[in-house]
Amino acid sequence: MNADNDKKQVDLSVNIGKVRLANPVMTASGTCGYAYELRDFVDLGRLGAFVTKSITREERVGNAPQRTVETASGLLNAIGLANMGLDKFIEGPLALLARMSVPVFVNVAGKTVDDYIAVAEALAGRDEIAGLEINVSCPNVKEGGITFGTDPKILADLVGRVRQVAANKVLIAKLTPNVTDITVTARAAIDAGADALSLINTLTGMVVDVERRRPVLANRTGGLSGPAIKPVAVHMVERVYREVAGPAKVPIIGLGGIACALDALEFIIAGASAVGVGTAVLTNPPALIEVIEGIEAYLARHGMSSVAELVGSLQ
Amino acid sequence: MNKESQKKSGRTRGQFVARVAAQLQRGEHHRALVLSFCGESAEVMACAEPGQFVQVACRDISRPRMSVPQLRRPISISGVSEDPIALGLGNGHCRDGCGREVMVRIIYRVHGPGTNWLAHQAVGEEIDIIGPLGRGFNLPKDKDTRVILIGGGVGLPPMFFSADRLKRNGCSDVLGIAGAATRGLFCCDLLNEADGIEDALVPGKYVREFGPSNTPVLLAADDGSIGFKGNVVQALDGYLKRNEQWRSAEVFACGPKPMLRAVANFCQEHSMNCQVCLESYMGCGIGVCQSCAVAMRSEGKDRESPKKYRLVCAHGPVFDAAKVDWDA
Repeated sequence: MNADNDKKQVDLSVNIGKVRLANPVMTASGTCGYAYELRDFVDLGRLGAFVTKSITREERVGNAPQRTVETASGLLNAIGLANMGLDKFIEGPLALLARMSVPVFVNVAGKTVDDYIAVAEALAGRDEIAGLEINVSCPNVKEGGITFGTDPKILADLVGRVRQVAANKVLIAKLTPNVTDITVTARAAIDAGADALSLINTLTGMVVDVERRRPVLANRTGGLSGPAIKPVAVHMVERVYREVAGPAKVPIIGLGGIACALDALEFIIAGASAVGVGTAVLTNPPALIEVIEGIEAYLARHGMSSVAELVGSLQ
Repeated sequence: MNKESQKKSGRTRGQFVARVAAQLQRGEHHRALVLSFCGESAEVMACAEPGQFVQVACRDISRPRMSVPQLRRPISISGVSEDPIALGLGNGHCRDGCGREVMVRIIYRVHGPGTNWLAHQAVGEEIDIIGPLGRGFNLPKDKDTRVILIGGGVGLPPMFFSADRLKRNGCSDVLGIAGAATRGLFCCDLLNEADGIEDALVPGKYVREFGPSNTPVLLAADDGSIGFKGNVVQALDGYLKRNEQWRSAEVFACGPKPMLRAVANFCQEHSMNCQVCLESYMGCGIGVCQSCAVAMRSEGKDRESPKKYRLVCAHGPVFDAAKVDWDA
C-alpha cells in the first residue's frame, strides 16, 4: 500500500465557525505560551490553529509560587493567569503569531464583564486573529472567572456582550467541568451566540503537604489537567455533543489529557470536531504533530476520506 | 560559549535522544549519569554553559499512555566533554560511527518516581532530553578574578562544570566549597585524601569531579562527619578570615534555598558579588507554563506594589543574589 496516496485521500480540515482549520489539532490555552517559546521545539505552522494563553486587560504577575504540582497521571496548577496584558500582547507576540500562518485564537480572561469587553473590543479589530476563546472557567483567580462559568445567566450575558463587540470574530466559549450539569452551561453559551465550545477546562483540586499540613500550592487549590482527567472530559464532550451541540450544529473543541492520537480520536468519536493538546506539550512539544499524523493514519487505515466522518460516530 | 560550533548548527537548544554512557553511584543517594550525544545534538550540547540545565524525560516518551510521571525533571549540567576521562569514565565509552560525540554528565538524587526510573536506565538505553536550557553563570572576563564556587547538597554539580569552564578561560584562582548535612550526602566521589584532613580550612584535592580543573576544595559537613564541622557560610567565613586576599572574589552558589539565602546575606554584608543558581519546581523548562516563578526584590519603595516574578527556567536559573527576594 502506498502511504502517500492514502494521505492525499484524507481530508483533515474542519470548520470552527466560519474559520477553516487545515486539521483538527490546536494548542490548549496556557500550555503553549504566546507561541514563540516553542519555536525551537515544534513547527507550530503545521497546526490546525493556535490558541494563546489567557490575555487580560492589564498585565498579571500571577500567583505566588508554588504554582504547580504533579499528581498521579496529572498536573495541578494555579498559575493565576500570569500574562503580559493586552497592550504588550498586541505590540509583541501578536505580530509573531500572524507570521505563523495558522488561524490564531486569543484566549480572553477577566475579572469583570468590562475587562472581557475591553480585550474583546481591542482584538476584534485585529486582522491577525481568527477568533476569541473566552475563558469563563479559570478556577485559579480568586476575584472571579469561575462565577462566569458556573452561572448560566451570567455566562449567557458575558458571551452575548462579547458577541456584540466582536461580531466579526469566531467566538469560542471554554467551559468549566466544575458544574453539576455541563449541558446547562453549554446550552447557555450556544444560545448567547457562541460559535463553538471548548471543553473541558481543568478540574479543581488540592494536594496537601502532610508534613506541613498545608496545601502544596500557594493558591491552595489548582486546576487538574493531564491524562488523569481524560475520561471525565471525554464523557462531558459526548454528553454535550449528544444533547446540545450536535443538534445545534455547534462544533466542540475537545480537550483534557490528550497526549497522543489515540486520545484525540476518543474525543473526536465522542463528538469533538477539533482537539486541543495541552499538558502533554509541556513535556513533549512534538506531541502536537504526532497527534495530527496519528489521526491521519487512523482515517486512512479505516478507509475514511475525512475527519468529519468520524466526528460523533460513537456507537 | 563555543561560538564556533554554535555557528555550525545554528541552534542553541533542542529536543534530543541521548544514550546512557555510564551510571555511577555518588554518595549514598546520588547518581552520576553520563549521557552521550551525537551529531547535531553533540554540537548543541557542546555549547552548554555552567548553570544551565537539561529537562530529562523520566519515562519512555514514545509511549504516552504509559504516562507516569508526567513532567520532565530539571537537572543541572555538571560537565560537558568529548573526553570520557574528564567526566570520570575510563576509555571505551565511545560510540562508533556517529561523528562527533559529546558527553554530558548530570548528577541527581534518587528521590521519587522520576529519578527512580532514571536510576534504572542501564548503559546503552536511550533518554529523551531537552536542553541545554536557561541562563548560566556570568564567567568573569578578567582571568585574575578569584572565584569561589559554593555547592550545597545536590547543588554541587554545576560547580564542577563551572570549575571546568573557568579553567578553560584561564582563571586559576578558583576555590570550591562543598557542603552537605553529612558525609553520605556529598553527591561526588570523595577521594581517599578526604579522610585524613588535618586542617579543615585548608583546601585540598578531596573531590574527584574537581580533579580535571585542579580546583582545591573545602568540605563542610553539618555534623562534622568529614572536613569542616558546620555549614558552607561558616566555612567561607573561616577561610576568608585567614585569606583576606579572597575577599574580592566573586561567589557562585547553588544549593537549597536557606543555604543560598545565607550565602547571599553573607556576600551582601561583605560586599562580594554573588550569583546564585536556583532550583524550583518546574513544568516545561522553556518558559511556557510559568510554574517556576521566583519573586524578585521590587525596585520601587512601594511595598504594596505587586511582586515581580521571574522564571527560573527562562530568566534563570542563575540570578544576581542581590536581586532575589529571599523573604518571599
